[in-house]
Amino acid sequence: MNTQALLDPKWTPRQRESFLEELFLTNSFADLQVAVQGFLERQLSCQVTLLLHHPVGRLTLFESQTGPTMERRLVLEGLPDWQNHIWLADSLKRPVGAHLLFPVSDREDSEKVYLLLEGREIPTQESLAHLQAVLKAVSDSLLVRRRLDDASEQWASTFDFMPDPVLVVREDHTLLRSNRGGQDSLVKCYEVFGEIKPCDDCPLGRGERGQISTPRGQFLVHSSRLLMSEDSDLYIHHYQDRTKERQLYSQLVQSQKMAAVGLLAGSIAHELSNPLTGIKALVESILLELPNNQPIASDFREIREAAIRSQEIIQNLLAFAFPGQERPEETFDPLEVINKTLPLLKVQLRGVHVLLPVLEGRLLVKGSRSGFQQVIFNLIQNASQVMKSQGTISVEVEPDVEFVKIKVSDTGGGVPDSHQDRIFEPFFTTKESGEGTGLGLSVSSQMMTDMGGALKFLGNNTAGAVFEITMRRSPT
Amino acid sequence: MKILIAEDEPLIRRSLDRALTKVGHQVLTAQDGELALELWKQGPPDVAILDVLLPKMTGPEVVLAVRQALGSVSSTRIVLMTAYASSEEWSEIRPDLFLKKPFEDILTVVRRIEELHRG
Repeated sequence: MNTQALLDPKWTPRQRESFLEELFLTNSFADLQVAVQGFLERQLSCQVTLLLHHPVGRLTLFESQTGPTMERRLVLEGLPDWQNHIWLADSLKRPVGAHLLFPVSDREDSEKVYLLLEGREIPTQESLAHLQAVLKAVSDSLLVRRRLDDASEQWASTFDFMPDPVLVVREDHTLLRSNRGGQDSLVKCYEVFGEIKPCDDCPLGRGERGQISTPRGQFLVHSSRLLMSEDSDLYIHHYQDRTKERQLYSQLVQSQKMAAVGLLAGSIAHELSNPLTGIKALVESILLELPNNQPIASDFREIREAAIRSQEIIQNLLAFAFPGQERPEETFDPLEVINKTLPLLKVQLRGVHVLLPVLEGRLLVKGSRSGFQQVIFNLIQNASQVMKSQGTISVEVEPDVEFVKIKVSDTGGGVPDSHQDRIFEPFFTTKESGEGTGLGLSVSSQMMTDMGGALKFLGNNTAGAVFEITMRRSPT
Repeated sequence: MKILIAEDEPLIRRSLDRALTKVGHQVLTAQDGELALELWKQGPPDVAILDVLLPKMTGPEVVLAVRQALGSVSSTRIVLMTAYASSEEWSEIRPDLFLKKPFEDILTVVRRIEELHRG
């Protein structure tokens, strides 16, 4: 750059300023300093160091524009004294011989520029007079540049500090700047979010905001046009992470849906209950009239079985839709109930061994007998379905002082890890449609809680799943 | 014995009719409360089996209307059927038997109705 022109005596201060302004705009700060320094060194035939003196908070920072940053509070009084001498050498980390510290700016600002002149023949202050105008322009420019740099650094830190992604992008989605890194190569903004094409509903050039759903999450994008260059429009995009919010929202929707489904299921179940009762009762009364050996009798029995199965599903739906049904508390022997329940599952248990414990004496628990029966029924039915009619179901009883724990384990391979959190969720099922409503375990768990007990999934053992029923013990 | 069945669900009505006729009872059926009341007035049955939620008149309303018209229904045993749990509203009726839907086996239902008459 032609810094020589600065000395043109025909130039007005305004011209000099705009020349410097141009220099500052088109060159990097470091380049510019080197140029100014070279210019001055040629002019003055001595070594020149530009020193910037400016406050940072309560400290005063001295900055050599050509050497290391010097951080020490010191007030320079233009002419060197021995203290300044030592301080300079210390700060610049090199010996400093004969020198002149020349204050360039005469501004009232707290920021000041000094020239450190060193050499065999140090110019006198008077001999610098002809450079005064240029030096003042240089110093002003330096200070302005300094401020700009500070401000830009502040903005950059602010920008980088923001927890939400902020991207500056071109119209063609090319990323110019980001507080997330990745602006070095030619990256597209959507690639930052793991997409391979522009996100659906991207507001770029179209509007002020959009909702994007990406592999990195869901974001509300605020887009604003930045007028920084003429040839291409730039946009600043602020991304507000909505992933958690969306999750919460969909959970809410899900639970509302569940409630609605529950009510609907409940009313449908009620409507169906009557005709089903009729089907079963009518088939039963037909069966009463038919001799047992009549081939059609077995068909009617099939119809009756189907009606009973349907009624069970309906009872489950009703228990789910209208929970907390008051069941009278009874005292009963759980093993006796289990023994009475097994025949109801005769068909499902074909090929399955059921191991029941043998206890000395009677064991009594408190709760609802029919509720407990339904829970046992569900657990054993689940186990037999998962084992596909071969394997072993073991029932173990652990009586305690206050509680009785009944463990039901199977050899069906266990509950997959991914399902373990969900098995008590209503309508969660892995069964074929028609085989189950996904209500068995959630209703069972609810019923056990209602009677002051609990139903827990203990985990998988080597062979299969282990469930544990807890009931309150009754003194025998 | 003479049994009146008031039930709007045709399958339930028919199954009770069939099973009770089969074991030798005289059965009258009605699909709504008004018809039930009409049949009752023509000659009190030994047992009246009434669904609670009947069209036109509910089962309990039929019983109350009979009591008002005939002064007493003491000769007739009253059976109320419903899918809902019993409530205060029907306790005034004091049914001799309360049948919760869904029923158990129809044979059991028939046996309980017959026991009612004997007892």
